[in-house]
Amino acid sequence: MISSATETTAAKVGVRNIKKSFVSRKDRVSVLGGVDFDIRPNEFLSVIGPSGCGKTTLLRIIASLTPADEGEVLIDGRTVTEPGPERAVVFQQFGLFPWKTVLDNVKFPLIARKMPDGQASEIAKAQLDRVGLSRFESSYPHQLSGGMQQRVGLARALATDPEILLMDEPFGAIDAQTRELMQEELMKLWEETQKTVVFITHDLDEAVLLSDRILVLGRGPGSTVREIVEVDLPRPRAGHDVRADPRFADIRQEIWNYLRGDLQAQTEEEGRTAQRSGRSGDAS
Amino acid sequence: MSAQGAVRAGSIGRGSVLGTPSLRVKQLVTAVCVIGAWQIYGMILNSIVLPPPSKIAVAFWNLLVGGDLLPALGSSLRLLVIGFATAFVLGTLLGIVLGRYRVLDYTLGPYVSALYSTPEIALIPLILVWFGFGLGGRVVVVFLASFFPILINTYAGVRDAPSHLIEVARSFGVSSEVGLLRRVIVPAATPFIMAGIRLAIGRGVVGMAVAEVYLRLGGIGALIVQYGAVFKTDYVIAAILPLPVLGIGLTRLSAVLERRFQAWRT
Repeated sequence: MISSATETTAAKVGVRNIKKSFVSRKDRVSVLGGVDFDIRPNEFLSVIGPSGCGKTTLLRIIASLTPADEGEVLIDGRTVTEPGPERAVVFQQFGLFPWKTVLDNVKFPLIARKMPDGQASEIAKAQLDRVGLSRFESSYPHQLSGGMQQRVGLARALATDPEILLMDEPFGAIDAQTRELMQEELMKLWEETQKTVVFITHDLDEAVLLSDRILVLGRGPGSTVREIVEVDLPRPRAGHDVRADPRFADIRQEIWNYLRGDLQAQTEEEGRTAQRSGRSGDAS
Repeated sequence: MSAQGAVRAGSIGRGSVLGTPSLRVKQLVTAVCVIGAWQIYGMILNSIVLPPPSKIAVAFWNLLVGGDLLPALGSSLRLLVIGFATAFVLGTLLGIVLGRYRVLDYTLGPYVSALYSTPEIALIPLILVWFGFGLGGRVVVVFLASFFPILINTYAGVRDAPSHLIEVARSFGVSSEVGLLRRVIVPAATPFIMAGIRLAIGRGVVGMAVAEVYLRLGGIGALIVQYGAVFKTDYVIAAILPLPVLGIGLTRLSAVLERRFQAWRT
């Protein structure tokens, strides 16, 4: 790649010293305590970490759905504070509008950005075709399985042809076998479109399978970047049994080592807190 | 295996075919008994206290061909439509505003609750003083009757609109309050609003009759009062008959509309 730009502008997404706390009834709980990293153009970056570490909060801040208390998010070097067409979110619970048909759901981002109806339909149909759901364009979301609903969610996110896909545990609510299929489809899709992807997950295998790099968030309160691990497994991975590669196990082990200590400490702490005051809400 | 399945499917089918007519028969037998007993009581005992159905049918026919009923019904319907339409527009608007803005909910909510729990018939003297007994006053009575179910249901629906869907819309570039209302909040609240409309129609019909009897004689209410004053109870009942028919008919109509708006639910 030929680029004379500085390191800051070479990053597709720059996350600069993001801090965020939530105010509960009694006190202020810090969720992110200065998170700082870059996402390269066309990179598939997964974010993994113990539950409650602020993964989802981080994604919501990158999507400009939640303001950060401190720090900033840069897209191509420009600070962003509002959701923009260059980013699209795929939600964990799919986030489909139950009163809209599948086609109208996929058209939503286009219509919201004032595209004429005919043109929006054309694009939406092409996206539905891409995820294999053309036959279901006039169905309603509740008539589809979880996996199909998330395919609609993906088609909708791709409708505006964003440069950056922000995926919040997109396969977390889908059964294991369908999930594997969806991972493969996403892999294929990413290899075709070369979007920049930020992928939140708590599934180690999923992270290793899909990612170029894996960002491990430390445990809260006040999580920071614990480590960023390069996944140097060969591409294309779609259609290959990447899990059989010995490197797969190595990388998985490396990340697990980072996570394990935090998870143990967190479990102990939660035990103590539960004894003291009953369980508090999950900040993730 | 398949034969067994067929037998089972057949027996289920036969059960439902037999079940419905037997219910119908029971319904019919009950109706014949009630109306028959009523007829006998009215004929033998006192036909002024409880006029027999045959006399009511004659009275109804006379009202219909005599040209009293239809104009009265027309004038009542006009009152109902104007009052209900006003209640619908203002009820949904205020419901949305109260549902979206906490400050207004806190400051205005108590008055809404107070007014809602006041029977509008108790307000008749005030309405008479404030709005007169012309169309204005009567519309106010119908309005007050239908306004609150619509307002309260709209409010509940707006409050209930899933925040994660509002977030989805925001992430795809819907940023204005009007845009969020139009694209997410109102569609999400529609089932609630439709249920409110259904309740409001029934109450609106009651309000209509109250207005016509207590505020100024007019429409169906006038017929009821006029015949009541001369103890023509058969005509009174004949004039009352359109009210439940109207209530049930309009509620059915709203149920049809409800299904149309909620195709996504079935």
